[in-house]
Amino acid sequence: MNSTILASNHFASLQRMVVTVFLLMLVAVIVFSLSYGQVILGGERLLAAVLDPSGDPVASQIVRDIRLPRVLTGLIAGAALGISGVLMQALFRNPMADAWSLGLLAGGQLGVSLIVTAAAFAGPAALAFLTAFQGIGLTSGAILGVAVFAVLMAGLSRRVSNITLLVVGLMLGFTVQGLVSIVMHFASRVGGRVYSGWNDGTFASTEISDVAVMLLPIGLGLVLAIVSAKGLSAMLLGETYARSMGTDVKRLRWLTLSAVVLLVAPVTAYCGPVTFIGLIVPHFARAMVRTSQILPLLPIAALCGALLALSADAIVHLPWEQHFLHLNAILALVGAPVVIAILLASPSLRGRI
Amino acid sequence: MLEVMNVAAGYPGPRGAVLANLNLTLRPGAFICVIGRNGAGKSTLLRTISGLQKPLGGRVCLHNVNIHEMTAQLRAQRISVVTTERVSSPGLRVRDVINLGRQPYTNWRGHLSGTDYEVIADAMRTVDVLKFANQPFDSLSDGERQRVMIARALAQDTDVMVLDEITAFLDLPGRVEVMSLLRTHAHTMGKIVLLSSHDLELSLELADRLWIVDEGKVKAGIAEDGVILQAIANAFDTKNVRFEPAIRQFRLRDQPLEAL
Repeated sequence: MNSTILASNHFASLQRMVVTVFLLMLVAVIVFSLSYGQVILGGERLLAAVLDPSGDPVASQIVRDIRLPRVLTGLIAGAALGISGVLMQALFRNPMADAWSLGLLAGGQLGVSLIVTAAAFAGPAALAFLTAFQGIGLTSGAILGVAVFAVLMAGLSRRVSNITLLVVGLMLGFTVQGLVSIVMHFASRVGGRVYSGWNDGTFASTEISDVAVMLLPIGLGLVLAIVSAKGLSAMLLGETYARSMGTDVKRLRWLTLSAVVLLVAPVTAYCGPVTFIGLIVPHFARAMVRTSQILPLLPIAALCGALLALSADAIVHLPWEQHFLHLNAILALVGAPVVIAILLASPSLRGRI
Repeated sequence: MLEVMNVAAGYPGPRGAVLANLNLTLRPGAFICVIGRNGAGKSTLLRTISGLQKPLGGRVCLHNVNIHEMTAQLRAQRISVVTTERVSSPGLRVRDVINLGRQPYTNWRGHLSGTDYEVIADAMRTVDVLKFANQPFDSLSDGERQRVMIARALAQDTDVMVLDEITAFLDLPGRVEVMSLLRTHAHTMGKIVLLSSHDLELSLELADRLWIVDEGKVKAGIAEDGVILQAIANAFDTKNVRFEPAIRQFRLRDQPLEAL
């Protein structure tokens, strides 16, 4: 009895410690990202830019208009992808599942590109409308695309093995990349800003008003994620046990998929396909709090995702000689070896290859 | 009291009913063993009785309430299930698995109260798994894992416990231990425990009642009942092996009775 309570206290204190450390690291990366770049701002200029915009208009413009939206976007996108990874891996009972690896991000890309193309063909009025309501239009396109692909993959997951599903998801990703690139070729003149840097993930193409549009669906997705956490914990023992312990599995499946769609679609719409974060963050989070129960994992995965996204983005935007680096290149350098290590260490996956 | 009324159990579509016209009654405090050949429909029967699968016809009622019309949560407060499925869940400790058994009673975030912890500790003591409470579930042997899954079902604190082929991976002492533990649980706590097993001789020895599943029907009775022993013989006899009701054992057909 006492040892039980003691253990749960120990667990809570471990979690608090991890959260504190993550928050500190996150603050450090945020400050670093706001001050370093092509123009390097010292602490004083950074403070002045934030607190007193009129005092140093150049610094203020750099920080407020360029770096702050980018940092906020990375923060939100990273957290959303991290949480969606936890949800996907629990729902699909597949340690390699995530919105990118199962092709959901590709679905979102396809949705956005189809909306833009349709608008382009419908004529300048439709395009003007889309430009005016760009955020909402693109986000709905992405939501539609991600939702369709999510339902398809969820249906398929009940018929094929984990590895097959993964390969199908990655192939869907390649197919959509090809399609989008062709669509871009024909629609790039009209699509304009919509496609800037779109085959690569980036947090840099948002304005501060876009961040607000992103937050709404992601906030809703977060609520659904929290609601489905208890049922997903039961699903760790498999569907039969989950049902026998009172989980309405059908409802849970819809709830979780909706959460994933709402979390991931805005990220796709504004940042393009951001790879690896949703895939590896849940593994870091589980290792750090030493549990795979879903609810305590969610805040850790959010923090860990935000930290990874911002760190990668900070590297991308270091004052390099010429261009910026590619976000997905950095993420692949970190992510791919981690995935290989997980594959080789996981008995269930290794056995099936 | 759990009542199976005119139930046809099976699957929709061409497979159809595996078992039909089932009328069975289970009284509190009874330890019941379900036996039958592979594919006779034991699992289908247990899944139907535990509410995991809807019957094709008829009703299963617990205390006069149809279990298939209960909400999933209410049913989980009444009926717990242990299957033969090998669960692997990296990252779950033994105590995490057993804690999940309290889910039918906890709030939306699964918060465990003091009472919950007491029930969990009792369950762990009953099945004697306290000593590896903090170990990773995946590090346990098959037998230990099965005991943990039973502790989880005990923590669920239900009137009915349904266990499907759970002794399949256990050695003989392990089987005896698990089955007598469940029998004691049924007798002392006044619960219904329904267990399917391949272990005919142990079932004959320990069960209060036996259900023989054969040819789409279920025959219920006690081990001393000649009709039941004959039903076992009918269900299990093959070209080379036959069940000998008099000694309650199998023997080879060309082996004379005196040789035993």
